[in-house]
Amino acid sequence: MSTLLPIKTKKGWLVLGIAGLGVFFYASFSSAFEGYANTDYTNVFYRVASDTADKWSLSPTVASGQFQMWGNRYVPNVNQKLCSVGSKIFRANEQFPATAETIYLRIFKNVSKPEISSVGDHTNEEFFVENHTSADYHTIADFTDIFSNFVSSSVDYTYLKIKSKDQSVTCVTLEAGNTYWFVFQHEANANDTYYGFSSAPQVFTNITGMARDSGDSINTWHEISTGGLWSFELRNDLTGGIIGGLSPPATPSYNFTNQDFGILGNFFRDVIVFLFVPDSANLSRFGDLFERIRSKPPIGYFTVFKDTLSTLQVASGSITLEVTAITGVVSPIKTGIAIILYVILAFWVIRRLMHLDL
Amino acid sequence: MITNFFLTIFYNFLLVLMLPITALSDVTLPANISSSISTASTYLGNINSVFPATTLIIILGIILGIEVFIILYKGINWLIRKIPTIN
Repeated sequence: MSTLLPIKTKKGWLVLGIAGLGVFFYASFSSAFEGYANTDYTNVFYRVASDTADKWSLSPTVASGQFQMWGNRYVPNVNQKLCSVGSKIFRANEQFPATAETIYLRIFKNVSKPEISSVGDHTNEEFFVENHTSADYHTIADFTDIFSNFVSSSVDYTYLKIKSKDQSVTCVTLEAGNTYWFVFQHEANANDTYYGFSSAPQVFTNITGMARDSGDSINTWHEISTGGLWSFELRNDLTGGIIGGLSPPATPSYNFTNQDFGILGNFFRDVIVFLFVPDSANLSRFGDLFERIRSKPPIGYFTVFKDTLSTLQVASGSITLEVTAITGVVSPIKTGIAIILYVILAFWVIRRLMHLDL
Repeated sequence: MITNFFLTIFYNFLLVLMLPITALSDVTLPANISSSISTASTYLGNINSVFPATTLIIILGIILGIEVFIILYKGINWLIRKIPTIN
């Protein structure tokens, strides 16, 4: 054995043994490897240290067309990839039948206070997460089934995916030392009241909050006590969706079935997991490698052109042909031309494949 | 931890390999190309009421997709043939 390891003395073996035991017990008892925080350090919930149960930020009832918002300031200690934000959402006092609503999570960078404004682009707004009506996002309407049985309260857990201003879903990097405001916003209807959010198992230390409160004017931030902060989860992937129930998602600790081997067996299992199972942040960053070169030559010559070409669409024309009166004639002709085009395409594909020179 | 260690080494190795590319400046298309596509979109809008312009765009996309697939296929084959002992 001594020939395999460069340890010649008993003291060396003692140090190695203590280090091994340290790893063993760290892996066995460290909460970082348990629960839905998983082995991914960047997926962290933030909540107030004193909270032990669900804590809801009050949303004032406002008149129709006004909006409600809460803001949390976050200063990451290390660079942190952010793709989606998870939180519980509570909807109360809904006037049924429920109608689709839009909620926003806006992210501001390096401002003393986030801008208060209605829906739309904000100055200094870096990115925003929107609970949008498109298929990519979870709308409040998606909650309809859940809220249709509304009695006194309804809670659900959802992920809001990061969107850039050009509406594309993307991931961003929260840079260490910079200030980010996470502002949750809901444009209210009369008598609607939204509350958020949940407590979670991990504690933040570098976050403060502000909100609009019922007594505040529309453009005033009201500093709130830590007990009124909403909690949220920063995720570095785009997975997830609406997850029912009162608890945050019960993700298996290791992304596979968490087999129980008993106390001693679990110790060894945890050690093996600690040593050999890579965390998802480590794996997911490989997916970002292409992003580094996608706009660089020579790949960029293709991707940039492809992106530009994808903007080709049937835009509003400068000429308006009034064909309403002859729709019965034009529609079959259009359909016929479309069929002819597809037939030509089919012939082209066949010919292309027959003369394929690989 | 061990897997993470090797993955980190591999990741950094890839970063070094990509360095000659990442050091280059971003590609920017001439503005005329963007404006010409915008103009083409307007023209398509003009004839859309009597001609299936949407179908035309779909077919154009399919043709481009097939051509890109063929180019990629050839490119990957070319790369594979550069591996020693593979003809």
